[in-house]
Amino acid sequence: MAQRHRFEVNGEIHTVLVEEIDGLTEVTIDDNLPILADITLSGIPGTMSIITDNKPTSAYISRDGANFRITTHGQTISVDASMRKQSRRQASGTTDPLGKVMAPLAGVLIDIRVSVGDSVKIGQDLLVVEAMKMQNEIRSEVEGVVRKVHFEKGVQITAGQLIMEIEAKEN
Amino acid sequence: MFKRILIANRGEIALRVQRTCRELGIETVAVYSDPDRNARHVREADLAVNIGPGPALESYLSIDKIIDAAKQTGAEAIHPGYGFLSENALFTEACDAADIVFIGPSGSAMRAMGDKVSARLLMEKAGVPVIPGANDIDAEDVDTAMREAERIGYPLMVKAASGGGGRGIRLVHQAKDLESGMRQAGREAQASFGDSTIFLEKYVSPARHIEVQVMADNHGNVRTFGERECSIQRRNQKVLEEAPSIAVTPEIRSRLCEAAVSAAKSCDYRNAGTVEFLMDADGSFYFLEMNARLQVEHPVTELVYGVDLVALQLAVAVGEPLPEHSGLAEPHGWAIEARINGENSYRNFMPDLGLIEHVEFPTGPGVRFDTMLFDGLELPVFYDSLVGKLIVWAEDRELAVRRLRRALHDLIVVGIETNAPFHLALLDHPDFQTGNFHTGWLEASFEMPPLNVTTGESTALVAAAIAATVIESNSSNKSSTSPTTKWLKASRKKAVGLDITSGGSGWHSGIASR
Repeated sequence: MAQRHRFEVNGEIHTVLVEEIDGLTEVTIDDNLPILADITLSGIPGTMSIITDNKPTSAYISRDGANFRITTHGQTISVDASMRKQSRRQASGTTDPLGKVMAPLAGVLIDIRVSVGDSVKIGQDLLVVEAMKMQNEIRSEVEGVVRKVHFEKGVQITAGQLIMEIEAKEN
Repeated sequence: MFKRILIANRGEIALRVQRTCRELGIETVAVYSDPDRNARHVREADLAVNIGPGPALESYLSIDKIIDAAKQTGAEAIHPGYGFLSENALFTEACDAADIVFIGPSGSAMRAMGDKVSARLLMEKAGVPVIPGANDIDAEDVDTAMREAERIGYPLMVKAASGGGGRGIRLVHQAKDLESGMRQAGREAQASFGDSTIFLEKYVSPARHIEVQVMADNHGNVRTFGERECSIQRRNQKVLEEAPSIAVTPEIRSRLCEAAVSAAKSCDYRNAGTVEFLMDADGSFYFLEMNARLQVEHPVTELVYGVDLVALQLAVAVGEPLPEHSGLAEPHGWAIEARINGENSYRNFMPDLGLIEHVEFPTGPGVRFDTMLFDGLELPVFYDSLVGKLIVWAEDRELAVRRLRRALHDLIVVGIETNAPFHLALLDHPDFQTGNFHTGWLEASFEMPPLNVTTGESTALVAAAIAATVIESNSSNKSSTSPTTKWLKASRKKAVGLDITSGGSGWHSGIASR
């Protein structure tokens, strides 16, 4: 009895077919040839051992909502199992939508250098996040006017939280 | 020997000190802040005392609370570890006043060395070479700094007078950056050490950071345990250390050790300390500072000299003379320490913290891993990003590099990113392998190779498909209550899937270990 799964990894959709054959597992990824594998699993989250062609590989599986995080080959790979085809969510801190200032890391908001109504320039210091004793200055990536500040100085924030909104100046 | 001591620290160093104490039959008292309640140093101590909220100023830096904890538990001595109160003279004096032995130097030696400016003056007097610079400037006094900076010349270092551990230091290349450098150094110094006084020092470059381990007893004996090579630094933080140094010959070593002994004697130093030097390509060196504490990187010295530095600290603190034959006279083999930090090697080493879902520790011949990690630990945001120290020993440097590479591959941390990928890339760099580096090398010449995202992709897809299959086949008898507390969530995470039945299929469930 085969099971079909659809996953998204690094922006690409893959189909994976899993089938039991004589105590071994046959796995087919997309249009590739089926892989016959000997697999053991110690629970989810847990450690998985996969042997194909006498080659063992290990992976650690943890769950992230409906998704999986797989740690293998020294890296952690996010596997989106939600099947939704809508556009991918923004990665925290890296590609923030214009004017939205997200926390790039978890820490304590030790200083807010601007107030609502202030005009800011590109590169201007907006806030300081202290994490693990290092102070990280967050600078503006846009020119515009500060419209909202969602936190007060001294509070603890987590990565990806919206801290400040800036109305970008039209060119 | 002491019967019971308090360890005024947290993390891996608290565990490190506890281990020697247990070997010597000394009971330990742990102190902990609220977010550290679940920490390993708490559960492995004989006694544990809560000292307040997360911010270090209200807990690990609170002299009163720690002295109270020691009195309350009848601790005879306090080991400060590194960081926090380890180089705070007021703390040693508070220990003296409370009749508790401080395991470290006297308050006066600490003041002499802790104030980087007075240390420079002392060294000049003792005939130890120092770097040209300007002393004692208020972090707000930009005019004086500008004047002095012109005299010294750029580039220069702005340093906190009370600094240490690489904090409160900024490199300034030109006059227009001096003010912001002073502001940043001053602010960090104020936050970490409560004193914003700074000084300026000419930037000697290229240079190696070479430091000598010293140990002094109350009977006038000062011993050295050779050098450590600490030139691999990012943002003035050491990330990898070695002993010995590839650049230090036996002749240079004996001159370094001689200078370190003079430095220690100049301030009547007691207990473990480290004399840091900057060393030119031609082997001439300058005094940088003396660290009046056990260093983070002390294990590399322990491995090549065959000595337990914490055991020596305890012996000296109790008043015993330094044993004549503790450890070897010369370094044997090679040791390397990789600092494992919770940070993302691929995102500019931004700190990464959170719940440790799973860890697997490297082990085997010549491998030591000093860490506070365990499955289910939630790393607090208040403290530094060091989560472990992976230390290896081998017969020579090349073998030690191979061993460290192997051990780094064996280290698995799930839940946070670590800098293990960085260390692996560093070990593969030809300049590192030939020893051709200096303190500025990492930031100037090393580039992190991009992550190869496709390597694990097919494994990840297989793993995800199996996991999804198990979950689907298992969804009928799912527990309906959703856990609310963090520890419950963590434990539930581990326990999910425990009742998975294999049903004769090709995979089967094991037993979750915790």
